Amino acid sequence: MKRKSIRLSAENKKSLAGFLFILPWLLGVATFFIRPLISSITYSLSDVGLTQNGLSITPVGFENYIALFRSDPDFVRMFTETLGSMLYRVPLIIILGIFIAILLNQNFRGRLFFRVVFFLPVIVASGYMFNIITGDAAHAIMQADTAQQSSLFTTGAMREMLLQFGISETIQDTLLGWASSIFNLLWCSGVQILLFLAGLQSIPGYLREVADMEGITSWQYFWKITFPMLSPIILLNTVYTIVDGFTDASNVLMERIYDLSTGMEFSTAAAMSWTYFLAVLLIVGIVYLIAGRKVFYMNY
Amino acid sequence: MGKAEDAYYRKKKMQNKAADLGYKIFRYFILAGLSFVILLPLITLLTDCIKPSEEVFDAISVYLSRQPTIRNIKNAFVALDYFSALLKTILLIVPCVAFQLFSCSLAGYGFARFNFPGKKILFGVLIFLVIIPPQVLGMPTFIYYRNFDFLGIGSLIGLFTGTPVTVSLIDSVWSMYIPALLGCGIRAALFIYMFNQFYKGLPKDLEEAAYLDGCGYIKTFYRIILPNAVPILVTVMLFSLVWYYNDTYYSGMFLSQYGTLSTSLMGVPDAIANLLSTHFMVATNPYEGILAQKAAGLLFVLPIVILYLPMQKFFIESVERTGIVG
Repeated sequence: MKRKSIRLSAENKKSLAGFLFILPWLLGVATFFIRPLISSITYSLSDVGLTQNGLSITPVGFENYIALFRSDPDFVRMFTETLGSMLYRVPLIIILGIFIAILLNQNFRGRLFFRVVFFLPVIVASGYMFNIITGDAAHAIMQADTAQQSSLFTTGAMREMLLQFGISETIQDTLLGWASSIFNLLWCSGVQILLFLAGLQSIPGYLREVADMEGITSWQYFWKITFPMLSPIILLNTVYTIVDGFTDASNVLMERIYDLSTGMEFSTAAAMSWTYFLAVLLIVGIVYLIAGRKVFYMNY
Repeated sequence: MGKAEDAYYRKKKMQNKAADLGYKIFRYFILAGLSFVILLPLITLLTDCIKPSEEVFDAISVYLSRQPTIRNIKNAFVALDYFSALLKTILLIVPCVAFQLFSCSLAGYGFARFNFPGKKILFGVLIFLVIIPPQVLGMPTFIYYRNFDFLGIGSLIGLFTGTPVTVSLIDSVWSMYIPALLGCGIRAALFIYMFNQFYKGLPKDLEEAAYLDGCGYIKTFYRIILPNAVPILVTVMLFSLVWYYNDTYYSGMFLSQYGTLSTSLMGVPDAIANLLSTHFMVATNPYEGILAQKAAGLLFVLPIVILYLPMQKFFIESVERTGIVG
């Protein structure tokens, strides 16, 4: 039998196979990414109105963006607030994550239990559930008499009692503030702890042996071995934390964007999300530029 | 060994032991404290859901109720329409997770093992997709879904027949299935990245041996690669399941009438208020709704926690063995 031949070299065949493997994703990108991306950019650069036949789009240039900074009463405040809170949240989550991961990586009784507990937030707390847990959902309904509502870490009776013991309101408030920040940080760092734990597991055991032989202290071991070996994951986690915090539906700006787009103010919402996204991109880029060089990759 | 030296070592040993013990206590103290902070809200959730609404302001029954009741749980069952909503949710997310595993593992493999023109740019697109917040694309996607036209095929038909063929995907499960099938579901880019890292870490010898034996690329993938990729498959499956289950953004936007568990969770207080005022003609105590919502929250996390507990050991171990770590 004669074979009709479009003979492909092995190389070409392989690259064709590669295309085949990513083909579903490519189709997905074309439909669910490129198209919305283009229309989102278009919306942000034009005045979008609803008509009977759908949307009417009149290009206005950068007016929407300028309006955000000039005439929107809340945007600048929300923007700086979100960026500002990132500045302290990210380092805290990273430090907390490393600390807990190191503890959970040691061998002790009940380790399994603690591991389950620390990853529970990943399973339970995303989306609306987090609001229920923190009591924000109840808070939103009962705005009128929140003073009487017992919040997560304090109850009226508890306060009274502590006052009787001579612990003043200010000290109580500070302590409660700490407790609730620790709570917030812990509930956001499940994935990070998981990644750090995975990183710790991948540090080869012989390094520990060598270090013991050299008579190194645990403190030195951490800084000379654990820290550099973990540095790729620290970078990964930093980026993950930044992105996760920014895209979290519960942050003020995201809520605002959601409200605007459900309220049919498409162009403002699009301009807002683009400004916001570019800021995130810039920050992630800066982190990569600064930290990317310092990261230590072990070549086996 | 001299006597002095002996004493010195004994003393040193004692000191070490004391330090060890101190450290152990410190470790338990820290871990128990932090675990308490994590568990407390869940414990309050548990205690609140058996508390009658009259006792909300009762300073004595903060954790233990005087008259435990299952009223809240009953209310939550009714307001959520629990079993039917759970069934709907399962019908929605199980195919989504399966589709996502399929498309993401394929794409990850394509990126990890093959060279093709434009690969670097496409990988850049992938990273971009990891970073971009879904809210940026959400609303144009919504508008697009109202007149969905896959790859312009509908408008192509329209060129001949005069009217372009479009379908509305809003409130249809396909609005979730199709993106999942095409590797654009919830956090799909992250999963592709994870698969890519994992496959890169697998030894190439396996595949080369398979090729030598005359195995094609696709056959090699599902006969050789997939059986070796069980850890990452489990990890991605669990993450995907959890994120789909908890999602309110996409399902709230595209499937607002469908009624998944996560979206009906928000409406519980209103549903309770409605229920009570129509059926019993009573002015509702708003705490009735809040407590019912807490009970509903508990009912909501229950299936996923039940799923997680037996899987968690496997899950944590598998994460440790996957290549996410780079």
